Amino acid sequence: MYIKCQDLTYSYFSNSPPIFQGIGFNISEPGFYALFGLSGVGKSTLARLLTKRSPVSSGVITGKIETDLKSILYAHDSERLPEWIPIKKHLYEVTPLQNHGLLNELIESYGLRDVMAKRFSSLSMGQKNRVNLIRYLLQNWDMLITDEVLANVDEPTRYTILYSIKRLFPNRILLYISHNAIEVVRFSKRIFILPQMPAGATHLFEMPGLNQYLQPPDEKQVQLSLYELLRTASCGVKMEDRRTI
Amino acid sequence: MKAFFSRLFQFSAIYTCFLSLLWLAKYGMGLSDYLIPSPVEFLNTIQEDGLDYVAYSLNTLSVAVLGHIISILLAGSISILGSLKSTIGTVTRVAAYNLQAYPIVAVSPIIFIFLGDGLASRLLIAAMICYFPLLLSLLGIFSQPVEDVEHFFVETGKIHHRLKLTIRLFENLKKLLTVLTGSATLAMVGTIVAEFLAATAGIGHAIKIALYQDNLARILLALLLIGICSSVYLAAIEILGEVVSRNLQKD
Repeated sequence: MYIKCQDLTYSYFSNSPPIFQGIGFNISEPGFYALFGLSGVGKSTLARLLTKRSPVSSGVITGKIETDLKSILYAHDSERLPEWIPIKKHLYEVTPLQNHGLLNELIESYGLRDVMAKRFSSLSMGQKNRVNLIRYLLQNWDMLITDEVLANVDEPTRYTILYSIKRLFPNRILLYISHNAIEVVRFSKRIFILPQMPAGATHLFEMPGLNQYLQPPDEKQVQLSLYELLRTASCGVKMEDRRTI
Repeated sequence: MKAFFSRLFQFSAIYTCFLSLLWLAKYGMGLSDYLIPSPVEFLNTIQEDGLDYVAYSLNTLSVAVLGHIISILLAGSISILGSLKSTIGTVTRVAAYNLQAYPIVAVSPIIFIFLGDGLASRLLIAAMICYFPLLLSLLGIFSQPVEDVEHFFVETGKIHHRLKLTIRLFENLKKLLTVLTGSATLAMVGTIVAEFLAATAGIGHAIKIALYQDNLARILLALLLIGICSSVYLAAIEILGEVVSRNLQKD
């Protein structure tokens, strides 16, 4: 189970400066990973480059992506469900039969039972995020890239969801894209950081996360990691304890 | 029903303003009854020819509705073809964009020569006049991806052409309703133009005869009835669209 990117460069147009150039990373075991960066650095573009079915619509791409993963899905927070059917019907229609039991469990634990008969547009933003995430989680994926999919969900519910993902899918790769630095630091096994640089990122930095699951990590360690993460993301300066891929 | 009364009210207001201006000009400039009929003469015409003209208008309306339905079916089928990514789709789109530039009214004499001055010609011209705007709008709707909704189906490999079209149609329901309402007006226009050119029935034909007789009172009566018929038809489409849309989105 691996995905490896080498020397990846992307520009929106052939004559425009690259969004990032020569970056790479390697994931070779299952777990909860995060991709972090400030707004506009190219996180979503990088994520879309990894998927086969909905790649970036245009632009110039060079580099190599190797993987043995059969199914890589990319979910983002602006997605909507079809409005012509109630949420419950849609979820049952798109969920593989063997996962219907899990669907019921997730509906309960994500607090969505009361909205199942409604249409998507009548939900709150947080409920929309949760419903969208559920339908992705229930597909047969090897790697799921979630791009701000919990952006509008309250913190306690978000933590419940992240715990449940870790518990239910320990043998798959989840790449979590979020602007919530504390969450990224706490829950990730490893964090890939796309730094903000004037002429586009030239490195994808990597740092260990605290991989919170059953026991919350030491708060001092959270603060230290958080500081390092934000510093790296904002100025792209290499620190001693960081490894450049 | 609000849409129905609103449309009728709008038309009545415009028609009343138009008549008032006409009579203001007549009495202000001292124009003769021969040029602009007096209110009394207009009322007499309503009394004498009203029922016949109502029948002519209903005849025109029924042809327009039928022509509109034909054009919706035709434009729907062609735009579904045009939404395909294959060569057939590309050829259909190119043909549709190029053909629509040709004015249909210019072709209508040929239609009358081949099909005569009966129902078929009126129907065909009505359908053709509202067909192209409908086709272009439907092609636009069917070719434009709704990324937010389609993304999941594309990612999970569940997307297929019918689902894609359903999503795009549903997401553009309001736009589609506006296009349908607009093309309904064109269907009325097309039918009247056809009748005016060469047909032997309908309100357009009645206007042509009134024109030869220089009878403006009859033309004014025809305009009143055309306006009422159009308003009723457009309101019916709006009400139908609202009912469909409400039912589809009902929890």
